[in-house]
This record gives sequence, structure tokens and C-alpha cells, in this order.
Amino acid sequence: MKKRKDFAFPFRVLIGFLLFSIVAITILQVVSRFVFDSPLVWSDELGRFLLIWMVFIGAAIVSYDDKHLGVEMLQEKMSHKTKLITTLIMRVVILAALIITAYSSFELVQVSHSQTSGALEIPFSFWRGAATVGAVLMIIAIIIRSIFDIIDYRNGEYRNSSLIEEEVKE
Amino acid sequence: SDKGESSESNSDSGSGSGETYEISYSTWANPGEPAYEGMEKFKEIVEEKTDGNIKVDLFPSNQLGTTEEQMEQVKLGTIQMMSSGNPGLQEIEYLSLPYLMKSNAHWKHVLDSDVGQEWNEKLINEMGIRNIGILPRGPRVISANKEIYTPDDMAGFKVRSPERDYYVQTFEALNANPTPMDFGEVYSGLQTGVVDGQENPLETFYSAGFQEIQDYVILSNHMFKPAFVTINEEFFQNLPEEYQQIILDATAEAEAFAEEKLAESEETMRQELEAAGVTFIEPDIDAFREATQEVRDRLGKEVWGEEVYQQIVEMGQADL
Amino acid sequence: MIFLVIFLMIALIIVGMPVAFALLISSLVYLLAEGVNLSMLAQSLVRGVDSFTLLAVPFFLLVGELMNSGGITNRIIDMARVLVGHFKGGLAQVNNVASLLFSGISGSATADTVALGSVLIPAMEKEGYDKKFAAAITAASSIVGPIIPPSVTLILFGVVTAQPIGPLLIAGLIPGVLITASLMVYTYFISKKRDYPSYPRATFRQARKTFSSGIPALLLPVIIVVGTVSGVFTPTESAAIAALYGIIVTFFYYKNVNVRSFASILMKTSYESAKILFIIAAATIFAWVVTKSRVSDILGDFLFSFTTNQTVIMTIIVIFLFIIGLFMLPSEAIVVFAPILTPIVMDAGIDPIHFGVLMVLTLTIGGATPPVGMMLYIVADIAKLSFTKLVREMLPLYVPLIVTVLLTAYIPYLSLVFVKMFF
Ligand code: NA
Ligand code: NA
Repeated sequence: MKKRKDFAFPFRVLIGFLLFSIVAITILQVVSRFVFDSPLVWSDELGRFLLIWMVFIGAAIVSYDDKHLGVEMLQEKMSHKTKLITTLIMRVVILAALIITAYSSFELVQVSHSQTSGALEIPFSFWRGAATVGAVLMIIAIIIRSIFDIIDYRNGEYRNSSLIEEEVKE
Repeated sequence: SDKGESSESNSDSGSGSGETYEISYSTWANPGEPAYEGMEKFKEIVEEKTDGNIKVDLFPSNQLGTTEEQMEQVKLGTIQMMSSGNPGLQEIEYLSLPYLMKSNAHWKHVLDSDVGQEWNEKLINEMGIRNIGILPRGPRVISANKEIYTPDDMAGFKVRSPERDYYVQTFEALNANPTPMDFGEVYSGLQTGVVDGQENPLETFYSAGFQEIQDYVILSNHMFKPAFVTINEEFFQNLPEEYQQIILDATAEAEAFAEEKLAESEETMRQELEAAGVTFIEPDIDAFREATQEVRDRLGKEVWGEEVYQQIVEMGQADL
Repeated sequence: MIFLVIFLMIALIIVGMPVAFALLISSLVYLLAEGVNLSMLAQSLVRGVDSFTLLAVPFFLLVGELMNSGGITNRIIDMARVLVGHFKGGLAQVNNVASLLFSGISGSATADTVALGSVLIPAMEKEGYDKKFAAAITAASSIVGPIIPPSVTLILFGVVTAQPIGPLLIAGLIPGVLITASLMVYTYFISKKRDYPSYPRATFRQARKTFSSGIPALLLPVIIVVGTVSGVFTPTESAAIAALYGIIVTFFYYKNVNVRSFASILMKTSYESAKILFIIAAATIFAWVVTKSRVSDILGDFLFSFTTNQTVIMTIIVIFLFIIGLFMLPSEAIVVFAPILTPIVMDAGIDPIHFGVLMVLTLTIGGATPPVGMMLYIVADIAKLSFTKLVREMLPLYVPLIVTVLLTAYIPYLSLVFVKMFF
């Protein structure tokens, strides 16, 4: 199978960097309190803030790779054609749910803008907005993945991307 | 807009006796705390006086989310009522500045004043929520494993406090090291020494069982911070006038009831805590007040402006 | 309505919908039916991961990833060999003990299976063990992974049920050692029967050499446990310090990680964390629905109308968890069922910390059972074995594992003794 361009690569780098920042901040928190005896007020909050963004951007990358955790017992026994059709039907339902999630979150983002987080005074809209951005990115990722899958099927290269293969490869 | 959606769909057409309504009423307070007992009173009164046409469902212990999330849910009409230390507006929240309000009654005094009415209008018009009363909590006190009489005794003292600036700056002004920490981690944090002490109303100290691991309660009374009872404005306006009045009256009765419970429990709590080996300390409150004067003035002027701040200072210390 | 929603969720999971979306969609159906404002979806998604405690998940995964890369696995196996290699069935016992040691540096059972299985299964085969026994003992012994700290699964339990993390991590220590001990007894008897080989006893010099190179890896769980109970750090901070320690040890002592590989480890860890935590996010909406509809009360009342006997309730719940574990991954089952079950067991007077360890243990054993058992797939693949043959070899192994579950279930003291001592 020919190598496809990985559109998600910049996002993979981004979440790796977010994780690095979270580790660094938390270590700084311990050092500041334990070694210098002056606890940081903002580290806990910033760590949580970055984690939220890491998770929702990360979830979109996982969607792009079609690697969300699930029970694949039935699907593994299906023919490629049945598997592709059921997968696409499920993705339509998932897309509908994500569109509703993204759309309904706009009102929440507005309402939450007037309140700010305790230490860094980041408006809560920037926290809740991670779900909006994540849902939109997931919608895009799932559409791209579905196009890839259909192309692969036409070329006879479609296979069950089960998570077991992935685990064993490691 | 789908803001009214939940209130409408919650109201099934009743069987001849008029519309029925459901109120989901959420709080941080735990069952057994005076504030929660006040809410139970509210439920009892409202359900009785409306012949069960308003059904009140209580959700204690932040079951439905953090305080901020509950506030968003009330604004969006997902739930109808909440009681919490978050009034939804900075101007009201900062009445919690150290030693600004002399008691819960002084809070009421400010909220009932012209300035207070203005704030409530702002809540209604800009955020779609209405403040309809308070539930009293005891003054906030400090707990520690060493004796503290003056701010000087707090040098290097790691005290768990919320992250908000007025808490942090208050404790910095008192020479302590304020340390934010999830409330759920405080017990083990105190026990293992990640923090040296914490600050909360006595009823919270008691219900969290901190007496098992803290030796002293310092009656600093540094903040009064009652819970605010907030209701979704659109839901409130869609109620028949008669029911609106029932809700307002029940809120007032709940407050009186909780006040009474609080006074009773303060007495018994103190006895029980002393029996459990906790020593109560009356610190030099004047020294605490003086040390925090700069924080009060600076943040007060920042939030309200010079003139309103002076008014609030007067109302907060008035003879009622 | 709520039971329809739960049914829908389970049905979606069975037909292969990713668990996170099954939770999101079934909750969405409930919100629509009840006319609840839909912005709850986004709010709950964010709330689900807005937790300082959850930071420990990527930290623990990072530690595992760091320690996994390169020669640390072999050092752990060497240490296990010095300790138990001279027993009958030496290398099989090494497998058991290495899993126990490995559990102290990794937060998940599948990581243990992959790391140890790929070295030990071929090695055992070469020494004349049955291939299927080598595979089976690898899968079974890996179960200890998430029971001994660090443990991602125990953290997830603590977060979704609002239980403190420190005590949960400590509570797993004795049940974890029990798993290994019970498997060692089983291995002893089967090795006698099948006359498996053993190693000569290690000399003192060999032992000292092996341990001095392996000790830095073994200090990791010590840091976590001591840091947590001594109050130097909170559990989350101890996870961050463990990550820092992992970085230092692998960069400068074992020298198996450099800046380049560290960057790819970070990318991989953040990805794996997002995968798990996104389920937590979606489960939070579901938990909101569960709370709002008071389903735990309803189920609890139903259960208590038959019996209020703690032992009976415990038995019913353990059986239920076994059945769930046959089909679901532990982390998935935890986020879906822990919020429903924990209030019920607490009403029955069962300690939630005790229950947490029991739940994780029971579900993890499910990871080594058909039809859905990640650990079995992994070892079957490594050993190039048919799944059916492997399962047949596994069957007697469930006996010591179930005995451990029963001991953990009916003797709360085993999980709670250290908790009471330190907290
Ligand atoms: Na572990
Ligand atoms: Na299984």
C-alpha cells in the first residue's frame, strides 16, 4: 500500500508538546513548593487547561486514524464489504452527534464567557471551546478517513484496522 | 432560542389542577449541612403549598458539576435553581473580601440596598438569572497543627485555599503560603503534610472530618461567604404569580431555618470537636484585619470604584 | 427511559461503535427525550477531563513508555531469574515474578504482556516448555500490572467515582502480590508434573551485579508509594516526579532514550492518553444522565429488595463484573459502570476503596479471557498459536485467579490494611 500524506502530523507534534508542557509545569509545582517553599497558585489550573486541549485535539487525531477504543468482536468476523458499510453507517450517526455537540456548544461558549477561572482568570469560554474545536476537528477527520476507506476499498486495499494489530506492532 | 425549552417541556399538562413544574435544585453542600437542610425545607414548603404541582429535586455535593458548571446550567435552563458561593457576578462575589462584611445579615443588608438591586438587575438582564436570597454559612476559620494568634505566626504556613485572587492575596498579606488544592485531596494533603492547614467554615471542617488530623481551629472569621440562591429568570417568569410568591417565601423561610440550624450546630460541633481534642483559639483579629487592609482597599476599589467601595464598607460594618 | 438509554448504549457498543461515541449518542438521546438543553454535551465533555488528578494518566503512560524502550525489560527478567530461577520451572517462575516487578513501572496490563511476552515466550519455548503454557502464563501473570501502582485503571476509577487516589493505589499492593503468589503455586505444581527445567542458584556476585543494574528501575514504584504516603507530593505530583525520574534514568543511566526518541515517545504518549481520556470525557455526560435519572437509587432499591446481605451483594456484583469483563476492556468498563455501581455498594456498607481494587482486578482478569481479551490476542500472536488452543491451556489458570478475586472480595482487610495504616 502506498504511503499517504499524514495530514494529522502537525497536530501530533502539537499534543506531544502540550504533554511536555504539562509535565514541566507539574514538576515545577512540586519543586516550587517543596524546594523553595513557595507554592505556585496557577500551575494546577494551567495543567488542567492544557490537558483539556490535548485530549480534544488528540481525539480528533485518533478519529483520523480510526483507532477509538471499542468492542470489535462482531466487526472482525465481517467481510470487507459488510465491515465498510456498517462502519460508514455508524460514522454517519457519529457525525450527526458531533454536529449537534458542536452547534449546541456555541451558546454554552457565549454564556460561559463572563466567568473566569480562579487563578489565571482565563474566561471559561476558552475551556468549553475545546469541546467545540475538538468536535469540529473530529468531524473533518472522520470525513477524510471515510474518503480514504472508500478509495482503499475500490483499490482492494481496505482491511480491518483492528486495535490488536496496532498493539502487537509496538 | 431554545432557552425556555426545558421549562416548557418539564411542565406536563396536569390532571385538572393546573400546570405542573419540576425544579432541579443543585448545590455544593452535603446532606446534613445546615445549608442543605435549608434546601430540604424549601422543597418541603414548595411541594406542600403547590399541592405537589411544583416538584423539587435536590442534587447535593456538586453531583451535577462544579459551581461554575452549575451556574452555566442555570443560565441555560438545564437546571432551574442552584445555591452556591458563586453569585455569578464579580461585584457580588467580592463582598467576600476579608473583614468587609461583619455577618451574613450584613450581606443581606448590602444586597437589599440600591447598589445590590442594581447588581441583581444586571444578573437578570445580562445573564438571565435571578438572585432570590441566601443560605447562611458560618464565618470562615483557619485550622492548623500549631498555635496561631497573629499574622506573624503564619510565616511559612502552607494553607490550602481556593485559587481566586482575593483568597490568595489575603493569605499572602497574612504571611502565609496559600496553596490551591482540589477539596477532595485536602484530607490526605493535610494528613501527609503537603499542606499545613486549610480554611473553611467550621461546618465544612467538621463534615470533612478534619478534626482527626488537625489540632487547632483559629477563629479568625476572616470571611463571611453565604450561599446564593439563584433561579433561571425565564423559568421564574413563566411561573404563575402565585407560585413565584411561594418560591420567594419558601426561600426566605429556608434561610431562617438554615440560620437556626447553623446556630444550633455551631454549639454542638464545638463541643464535639473539643471532645475530639481540637483546641479553639481566639486570635488577635484586629491584627488580622489590619494586615489585610491593603488587599481590601485595592481589590475593593478595583471592582466597585472608590465611591461605591466606601458605601459598601459602611454598610458592611453598620449596626443592624 | 433511562433503561432504554442504557440498553441503547450497550447495543451500540456490541455492534462495534467506539465506546466514547456510544456513550455520547445514548446520552444525547436521553437529553433530547427529556428536553434538556443540549449544550450539556460540550460542558460535560470538558468537565470530564478538567481534573488535576487525571494528569496522572499521561504521566504514568509516559513512565511506562520510557522504561519500555530498550534494555530495561531484560534487566527486570535478570533480576527475577536471580530471585526464583532455581525453582522447579525456573523460567516460568521468572515470568511470574518479572510481571510483578514490571507492574511497578508500567500502568497497564497490555504493556506488560507485550514487553515480557516478546522476550519470555520464545525463551521458554527454547528451554522445552510447551508453547501454549508459555503464552498462557504470560497473559495470566500480566494481570498484576494495573493492580500495583502505577495504575491508570485505578486512577480512572478514582476520578469517575470521586474517591481519593492515594489510598486506591496503596490498596492494590496486597491483592497484586496475591495474584503473583497464587500463580507461582500453580506453576510449581504444573512444573513438577511436566518436569520443567530449572536454573542453578545464582551466585552472590551474579546477584549483586544484576541488582545494581536493575535497582534504578525498581526504585520507581518506591518513589510513587513513598511520595504518596509521606506527603512530599500529592498522587498526581508523584506521577509527575515518576515521569521526571523515568526521563533522568533512561537518558543518563540506561542511555536508551535521546532527544529524538523522547519526542516520539511524547507524541505517542499524548496520543494514547487522549484515546483513554476522551472516553472519560464522553462518560461524564453519561454519568450526568445517570445522576439526573437516579438510576443507581433505582437499581440499588431493586437489589436491596431481595437482599441486604453484604456477602450476597458482593457476590452478585463480582459475577456481574466477570461477565462485563468478558466483553469490555477494563478502562471502558470502569468509566461506564463504576459510577452506577459504587453508590450501590457504598449503600451496602462496602468500602469504596476496597471495591475499586476489586473492580479493577476482576475486569483485568477479563482481559485474559475470551471472547474479548487483549492479553490473549497479544500472546497468541507472539507465540503464533491458535486462539482455541491457548484458551484451553488458560482454563486451569483461572482457578488461582478466581481464588485471588474471592480472597480480595471477602477479606477487605487485604486491601485496606495499608490504607488504614498510612491514611
Ligand atoms: Na502497575
Ligand atoms: Na475478556
